[in-house]
Amino acid sequence: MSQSGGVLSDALLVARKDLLLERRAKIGIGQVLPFAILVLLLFAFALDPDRGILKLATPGLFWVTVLFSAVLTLQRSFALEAEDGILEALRLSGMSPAGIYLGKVTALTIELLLLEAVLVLGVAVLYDTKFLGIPLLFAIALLATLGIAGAGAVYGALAARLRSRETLLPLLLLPLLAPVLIAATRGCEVSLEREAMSGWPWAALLGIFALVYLTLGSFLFRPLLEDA
Amino acid sequence: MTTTKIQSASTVSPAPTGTGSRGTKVLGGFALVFLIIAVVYGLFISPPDAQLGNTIRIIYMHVPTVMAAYLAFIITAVSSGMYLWKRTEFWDLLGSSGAEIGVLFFAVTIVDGALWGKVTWGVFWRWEPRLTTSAVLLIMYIGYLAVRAIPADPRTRATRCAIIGIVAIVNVPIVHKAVDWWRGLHQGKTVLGTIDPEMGGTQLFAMYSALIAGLLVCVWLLIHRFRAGFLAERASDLGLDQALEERRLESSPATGEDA
Amino acid sequence: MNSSNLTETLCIVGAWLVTFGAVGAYGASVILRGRRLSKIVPPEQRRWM
Repeated sequence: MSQSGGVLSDALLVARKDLLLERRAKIGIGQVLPFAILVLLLFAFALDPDRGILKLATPGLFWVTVLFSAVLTLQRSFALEAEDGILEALRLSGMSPAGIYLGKVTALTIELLLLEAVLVLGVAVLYDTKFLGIPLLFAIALLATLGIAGAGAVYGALAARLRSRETLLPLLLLPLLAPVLIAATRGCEVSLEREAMSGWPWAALLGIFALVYLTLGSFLFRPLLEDA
Repeated sequence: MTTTKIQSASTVSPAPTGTGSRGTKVLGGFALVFLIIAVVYGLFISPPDAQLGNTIRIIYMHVPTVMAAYLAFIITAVSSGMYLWKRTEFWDLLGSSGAEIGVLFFAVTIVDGALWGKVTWGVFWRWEPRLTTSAVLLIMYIGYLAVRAIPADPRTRATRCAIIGIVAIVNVPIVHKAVDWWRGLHQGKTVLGTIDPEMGGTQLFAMYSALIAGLLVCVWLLIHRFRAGFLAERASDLGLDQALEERRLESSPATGEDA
Repeated sequence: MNSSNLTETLCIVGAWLVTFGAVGAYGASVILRGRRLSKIVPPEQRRWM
């Protein structure tokens, strides 16, 4: 289709392909989302909603749930391609590795943001959370998700062709995303007015993380597709 | 350092029977001298610290191990970058050697830190920024070793590891920053992993000799580990039954995907 | 007082033992592995600079 139409058009093409596949297969809506809501329920069982711990811990629980769901989404997204050799085909068709990478990241970010939107509703209803500081909340969600998708796409592609990917991907990815969990959780606490400090430094940290990993991923995807 | 050039067959001296050489012996000798000085001064001669008391003697071990770990990880990162550029076995072996030794020193660092915490706080673990950062980074590099242990053809395995090596080092300052801010609200200045410039003479002497010893031991281990890795590759090239047995022991046979 | 002194001594000695023990054990294992492998690999392939 696109013969060297630039990184951006390659990215759009890959992203559209991924989102189309997802719309057909409905794994995200049919399996990952129910799993995420189930985790919210399990946290409530574990932490006894009447003691107030649940409310205090809401931002952290929310982002832990997002991280676990992201691991599932990534595995799904790259397992398909590894099985059918799609990434190989895309690369051989002359698409730029950076374009493929950014396309994957775009699709993942959109999928995860939709998941988060539903989860926010779930948290609001189940944990009785009141949201303040909406702009900060939006900024944090967007930047954190970009970071998760940016780092996740690198390791997702790396682990996809390994038989032990189910165990390996979380081992590789979750320590990497520890700063995202910290920053997103603290930032959300600020926007829920639980911390005195301003939340924007956290958003900035998330932004730096996302930027670093998007840059790194764009460069590393070439050796990744060719050799790993 | 340890180039693996094969010299002409007419070389006079016999081939070494292990991973040692004159260079490593000299290096090991220096390391030993500094280690002995560190033990004598760190455990016996230097007085207890005004603030830390005798627990400063744990810091004498904690600082060198954490520095050695970071040295090893920096070497892994540089090697990873060089591998993606040059694609030679040298950089691949150096990178994986660094990661393994870094994990070793980091694990020791965390145990030392927890023992220090037991004396100072009465509990093994408090969410002290340096310790927390170390724990996260340790698991990150355990992931590197896990990928390393997965059998694959050398080029594929090396590329995977190089990518992880680069991604991991970039994450080090980010984890530092995040954890520092995270704990910054709750507690003051950290003493773990730092050298206080106001330390007394013998204390400084103990600290620096321990630090030098730690870095020398790190480099010494790195050279030996590199050479052992090189020998393991040659052995697997030979494809001997014996060699395969050796490789199976370290659970990384040379070919094929993992089963 | 006495038991806290004991804890302190144990922890200090423990830290040094763990450090020397772990690094020493690792070093020994690497060197023994190198010797074992040296018996397999032909001499012209194990020349160190």
